[in-house]
Amino acid sequence: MVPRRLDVSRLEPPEPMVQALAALRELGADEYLVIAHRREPVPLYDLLPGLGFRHRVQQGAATAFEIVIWRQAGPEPEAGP
Amino acid sequence: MTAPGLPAGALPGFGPPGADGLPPLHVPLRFFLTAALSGVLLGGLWLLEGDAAFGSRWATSQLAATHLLTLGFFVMVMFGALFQVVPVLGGGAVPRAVLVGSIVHPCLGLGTGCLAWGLWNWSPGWMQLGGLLLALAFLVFVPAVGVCVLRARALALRPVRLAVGAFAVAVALGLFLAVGITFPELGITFRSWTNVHAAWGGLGFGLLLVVGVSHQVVPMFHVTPAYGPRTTRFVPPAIGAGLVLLLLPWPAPRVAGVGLAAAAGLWHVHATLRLLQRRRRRRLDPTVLGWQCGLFAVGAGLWLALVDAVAPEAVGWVAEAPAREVLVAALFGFAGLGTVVVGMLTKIVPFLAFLHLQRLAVARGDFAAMVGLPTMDRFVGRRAAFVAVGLHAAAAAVVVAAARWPEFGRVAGALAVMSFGWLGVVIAVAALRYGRAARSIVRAGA
Repeated sequence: MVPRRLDVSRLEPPEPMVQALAALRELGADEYLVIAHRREPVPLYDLLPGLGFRHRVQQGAATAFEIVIWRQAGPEPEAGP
Repeated sequence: MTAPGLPAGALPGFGPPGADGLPPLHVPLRFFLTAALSGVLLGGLWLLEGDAAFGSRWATSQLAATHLLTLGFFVMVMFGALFQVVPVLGGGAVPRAVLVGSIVHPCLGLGTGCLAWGLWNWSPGWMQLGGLLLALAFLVFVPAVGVCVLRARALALRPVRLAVGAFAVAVALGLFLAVGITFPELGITFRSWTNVHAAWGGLGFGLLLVVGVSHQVVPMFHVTPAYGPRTTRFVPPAIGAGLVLLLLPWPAPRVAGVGLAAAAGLWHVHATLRLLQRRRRRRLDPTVLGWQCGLFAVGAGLWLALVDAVAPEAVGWVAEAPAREVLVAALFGFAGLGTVVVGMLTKIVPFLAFLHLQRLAVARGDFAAMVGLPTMDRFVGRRAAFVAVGLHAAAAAVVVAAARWPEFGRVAGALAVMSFGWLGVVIAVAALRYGRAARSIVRAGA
């Protein structure tokens, strides 16, 4: 599994959501998404199951939160640096 | 074909509330549009009455204008916004939001109109009719929203809880004053209690709600650091404690109450302006401009009220004592909270339109539509938003001048008509564009 990284920590709403959805749409079969954000995007979490994705939240290196999103059918990515 | 869960033929987003508790878009939008109309009527009243309105805060035309601004504009916008804000801040959906909105909106609008007409013509019959309609609106709205804010434990809702409580007290004081007008033989000290009523309405409901909302929207929308814990923890209860002191029938606690509430308000103004200076995206933004202009005016109004309460002789140079009261109200209300609210509407209306379109695309499982939604500036353009904030700031400057020099009253009225008229056009255009985009998503998925 290859991570695709997206930093939305300096964007105003609703840009983080727009960019996250665009990135999920383009996500390759062997990829998962890591979003760097200054806050937890709760509205995005509500959408993910309906779109066929799962997520977990971890502390970010440069931002307060990192949201790891992967396909429901695929394995959960291991915790990375 | 309609979105799942919507009746056939219903315009999506104008249907039942979503699972996230957000009511359909028409619920807040009708409040916002009526608020703009109230503002136009307020400007029209000043245009007709001119210096007669600004000569004394007790002029019947100025009493009518004050209620068109407070009930017709501020309360109308804030009620409409609370339908959306309460679920977002963790209070859950307002129960039966469509029904509650359908009762509260006409009662609040017509009640404000009757009350303003009654005050202008000093007609107790119209005032009583207005009072009855307003009482019905409040009796439906306050418990519906009160249930949500009381049952939720979210810390973010604490100032909103205080604001709703302050609103209930302001309404009770307003009814007390109405009884005093209807039965003069009771000998209620009208002017003294009017100040307490205005303080609970303006500082209690108006400022506390702006404080509570700004704790969330300033860091979120303008990418600033979060408010410090001392600001979020102590400012709302300090304003509330100051207001409680105002209810005591002795001068010393009342002065202390004004001092405490004004000092807490000034702390919040300072904290917010500092945060806006530290925002990560430095580009010029109409809503930020609204916050900055509005908060400067709120700060000036609070400072004047504070010094006037503690050492009135120190601000004698600003204006004579009666004119100072009008000046405080003009700075704090029309110029301060008014500019903040106009600026926020230019951000919140397109954001809600976007959010509801997104919900529609999600309900239809249309990933392509979700990604290709119109951007926020397709609903309210940057130039239109800057014109809205700029016009209101210009109107506010002349309203403040008219508080000191009443001969500016008609110019203030003309600018207020232009400002609120433009705001109404901006909101109506956003609603039309939303409807067009929603229909296009439905057609694409049919």
